[in-house]
Amino acid sequence: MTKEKKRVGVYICHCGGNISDVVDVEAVRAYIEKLDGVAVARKNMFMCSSDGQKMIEQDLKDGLIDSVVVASCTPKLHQGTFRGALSRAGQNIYLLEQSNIREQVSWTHTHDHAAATNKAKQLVAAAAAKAEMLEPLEPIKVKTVPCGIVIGGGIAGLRAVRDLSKWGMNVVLVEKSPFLGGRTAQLDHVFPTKEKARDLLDKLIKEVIADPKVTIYLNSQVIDGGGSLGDFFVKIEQTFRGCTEKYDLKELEDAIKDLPKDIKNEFDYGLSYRKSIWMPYEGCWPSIPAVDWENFQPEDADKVNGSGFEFQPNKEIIEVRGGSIILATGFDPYQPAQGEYGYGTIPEVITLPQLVRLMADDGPSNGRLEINEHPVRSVAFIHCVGSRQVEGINNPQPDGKVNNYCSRACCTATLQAANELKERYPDLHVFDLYQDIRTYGHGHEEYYQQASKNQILFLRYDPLNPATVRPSNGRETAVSITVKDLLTQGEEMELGVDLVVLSVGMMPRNIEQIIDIFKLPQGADRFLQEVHPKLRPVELAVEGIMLAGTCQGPMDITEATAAASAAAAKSMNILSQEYVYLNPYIARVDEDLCTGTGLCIEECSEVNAIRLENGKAVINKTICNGCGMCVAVCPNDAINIQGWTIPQYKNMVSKMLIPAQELA
Amino acid sequence: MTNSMKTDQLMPPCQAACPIHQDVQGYVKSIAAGNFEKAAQIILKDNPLPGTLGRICAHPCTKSCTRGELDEAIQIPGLKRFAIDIHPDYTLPKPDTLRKEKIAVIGSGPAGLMCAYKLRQKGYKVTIYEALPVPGGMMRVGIPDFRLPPEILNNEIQKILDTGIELKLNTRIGEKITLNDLRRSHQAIFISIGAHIDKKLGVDGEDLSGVKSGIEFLRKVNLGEKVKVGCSVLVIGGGNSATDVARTVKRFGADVSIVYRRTKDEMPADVIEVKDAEEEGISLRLLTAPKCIKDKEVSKILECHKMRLGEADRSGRPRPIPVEGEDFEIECEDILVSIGQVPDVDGLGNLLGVDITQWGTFSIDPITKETNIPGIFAGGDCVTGPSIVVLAMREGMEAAESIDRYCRGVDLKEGRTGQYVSEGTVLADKTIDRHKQQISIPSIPMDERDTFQEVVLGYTPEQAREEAFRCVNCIPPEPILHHQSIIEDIQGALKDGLSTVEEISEQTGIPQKEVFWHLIAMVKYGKATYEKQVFDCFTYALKED
Repeated sequence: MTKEKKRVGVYICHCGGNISDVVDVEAVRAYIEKLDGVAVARKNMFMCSSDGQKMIEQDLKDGLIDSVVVASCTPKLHQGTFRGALSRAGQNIYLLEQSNIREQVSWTHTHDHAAATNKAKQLVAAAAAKAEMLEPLEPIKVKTVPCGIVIGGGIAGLRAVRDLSKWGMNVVLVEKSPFLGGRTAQLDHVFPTKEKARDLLDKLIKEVIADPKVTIYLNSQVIDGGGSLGDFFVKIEQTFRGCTEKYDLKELEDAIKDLPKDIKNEFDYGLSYRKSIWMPYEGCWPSIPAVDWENFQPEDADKVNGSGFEFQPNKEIIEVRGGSIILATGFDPYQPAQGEYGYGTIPEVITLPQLVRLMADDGPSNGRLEINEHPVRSVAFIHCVGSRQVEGINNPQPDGKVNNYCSRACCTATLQAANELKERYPDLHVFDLYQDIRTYGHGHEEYYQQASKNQILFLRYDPLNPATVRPSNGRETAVSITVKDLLTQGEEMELGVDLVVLSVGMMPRNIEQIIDIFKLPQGADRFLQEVHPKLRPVELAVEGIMLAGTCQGPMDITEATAAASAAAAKSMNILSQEYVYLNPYIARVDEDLCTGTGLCIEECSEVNAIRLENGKAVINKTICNGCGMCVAVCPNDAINIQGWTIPQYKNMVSKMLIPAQELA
Repeated sequence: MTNSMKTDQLMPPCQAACPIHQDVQGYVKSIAAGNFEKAAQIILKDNPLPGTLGRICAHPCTKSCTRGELDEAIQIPGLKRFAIDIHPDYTLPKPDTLRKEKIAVIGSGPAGLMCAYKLRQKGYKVTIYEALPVPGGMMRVGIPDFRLPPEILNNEIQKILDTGIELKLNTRIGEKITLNDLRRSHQAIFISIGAHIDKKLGVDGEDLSGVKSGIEFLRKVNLGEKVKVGCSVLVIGGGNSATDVARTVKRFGADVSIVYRRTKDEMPADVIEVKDAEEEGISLRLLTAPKCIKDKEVSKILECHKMRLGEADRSGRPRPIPVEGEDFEIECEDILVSIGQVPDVDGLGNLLGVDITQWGTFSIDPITKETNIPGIFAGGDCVTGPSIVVLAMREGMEAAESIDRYCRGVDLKEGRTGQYVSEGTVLADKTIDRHKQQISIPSIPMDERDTFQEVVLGYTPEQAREEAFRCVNCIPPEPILHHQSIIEDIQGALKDGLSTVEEISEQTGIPQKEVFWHLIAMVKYGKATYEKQVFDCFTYALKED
């Protein structure tokens, strides 16, 4: 390196006593002061105080120093503070290096003051060594594409779309299925307002489709994507829905009356059958039927009478661009394993979503409570099926893990269904088998109290010893349940019921492809994971991508729409700026050294940020995320990450390797 | 003893209050769940006289019922009766193994039957000796048929006998067979002869004809013997026997009054019995104490003191004090005295040296029920004086445990305290729908109450489920949280003069959090005290007993 070395100012913080109670700050200062390249070494009770910051500003203004080391807490906490000091003194903010001697020294080694002081000396010396080689950098400026991309057309996606479009922003909505509405469309009444879910949905859909700023792609899958904060692109593959004309359900039925009704209707969770051309419900949007290409047989085409059908599953690839992405990909209800509480083996065992369809006026039994055409006189609900599972007791998911999380919405949903049943059929006997009742939300506890009033009998089971469900074989009722009831100190209770409803939890939808494309972080529960549950609750670690609703974790509609509105607001922070500024810590090629081996391009094939121009590697600055893989493979050391160059590292390491006895 | 899972820990209040610790929550919840058969099974686990107790038990359980704090206690006996009434054809389990030891039980009342049943369950050869021509003791001859139909009782006794117990009726010990005979032919003897002799009033004129014993009158009616009562009858006494006597006399068409020296609130009889008696047209002459009885032609004159209530006496009830100068007379044809009974100890003949108390009852060890003579045990009313059926059953149950230990040569007392408690705060979901009173049990109309037909009819299945649903499923505090060994360590540290959580933790090596929670529990259960110091610190000390 031929560049001139910087004169370094080192500022060591006591952090009240957080650091100085353990680390001998003066000893560190005295040691650092003697190092080559260190022009000034000072200490202060609180470097983040205005006094501390002024100390840095003054030294810069006086021309004593060029670059700054602050030995204090973590950059997460105060990098912005100290960059502000550099900025006010007219210095480039990237000439700052922080050494974390609080979390990494004083809080970690509380009992060994001498060793802690030595470690602090090493870390601060290393930071100073890096600082003398720092170069001024400029953030990467990206022109924002003034459009939001929302993936998922359920209630959260729709809420986010509506919020963005209300602010005057263009929005692209990508929905995998041929219809909008998602899981909410399958619900009947929603807690705590008891409104019809469809009414809520219709209101939102009407607003969304009326807004010319919104572009909706239905029947569309995300197949590729990339870009960065401010300028993302998403490639979608849209499949032709097979119909072009609007129909209402009656006309549709006429047109397709000869098609066989032999496909399990996913909208009714398999409780009914539908045809290969279908609409989920009357008044759905769009009221244009869709061909289920997967189940559409070639001979089906001849059985359709009516105009507006075209039986070619054409696919179109569309690329959309936007400054931010909101993921609202939603959840799937937990699918009980074959035989879990008799599910799949006893026809009288169903899930809560199935019961909700059964109770809906337009459901498979037109709202009558019937199973296999038998009237139901007693019902037992079992909570926490597929939620709060215990390793060794419950069967694991394919990834080997059990769902140990609480699905949150099911307690209230279960009690709501139980109450509705009891109110509709006062003579019905309703049992509720639970681990804990978690009616945590505003207005939810009333459902529990109402359940008591409605004489719903509660039995509390031990998760380590769950209930067993078996056919009654000739008894009056269809199913027998045996459960050790903790409410009666473990008494074994036997219940005979006609229907068992499993209150199933939520699982994230399978969005492996999207996770792969954007390198999205998942939690241990397989849901997408936010940066921080409190400080950045709807943002992903990939900047510019937000979370809305149940792709992040189990939520009820209230929470999902709140998250969606938050994600929309966060998106507006980006979209409303003409430019966004990205971190300059990206790869830089030294053209003198580059021989065009192309090894870096190969290594970067997933991110695809490097190309070859005139025999030299060229970096796409907005795509590069500064991972450093290219640096590692270049045989000529021609690539470096700005702000974290190999010479800087070498200099740091040399200072760290000084033996302890020489630190005094 | 009862459900093994529950004996080692604290019980729900109803179960703890029941002398035989029946699993009340279990059968109440099973009824609520519609599984009546299971309810019957749970009841029969602890109670071989379920239909009887379902009718006439004084139900101490309901007095401690948590639901009672909200509105009204659960109608527990009514639910028990319901579960058994619809499963009358149950059988009681027979012993798995048989033992050769022979045990004699004297008296076939609740104490004797329970003792015999529990011993038979363990395989012993048990013979019950009954002086009367019918079994059941006071349940049979002291309680009128309209409260406990004899078919119900006989059916239940037969099921007990069917487990392999021999019953010898008309066999009064002390006549042809003596206590000594029994002692020679049996390993152990349980005396449960009850208390069948009415106490004397202790006033002049008591021996006049027409002044009779109430309990003897009941016995005669129950045995189908001829009785004669006049048109106006006074029954003296305020207990359940007095109301039973009065209600029985009423059914002979007589005009009946109960004479009691305190007020209605102090009457020892069940509230419901007093209420039923009044409804059936029996008048109460309260604050009235007999002074003497005189003949007046064909009738009697009961001279009475007018009483007022004074300070509480040893029993906690206010002492009745005569009001000077306000004596009065009541004219009647017959007077039945029912002011309590004593056992007929002398009737047993030679007692082989068994100690008798000054009240004429058998003297026993309160835990083991053993008398001063090894191998001879006693329990029930002949020990406690007149008491309730379920308590007599408890005595029989405890005696059976002792007799088993005695025959096996095991220490009679080890591990037994004779005490079961529900301490601490009971946890219950009190957010349930309040102000839903007991479902009242149907009974026959007033104008049909002139026969000995059973008055109370019992719940319908729908009523029973609705009543059972009222149970709040309360849970006693979980003792597992409080490890005895930790408590002992903390007690040791407190004895050493340590007083803060930090000091105790340091000395015992128990984490501070654990020390803290155990200290809280000790304070709650009265084993420690605390004091607030400056800076919100607390110091703890052992509580002096």
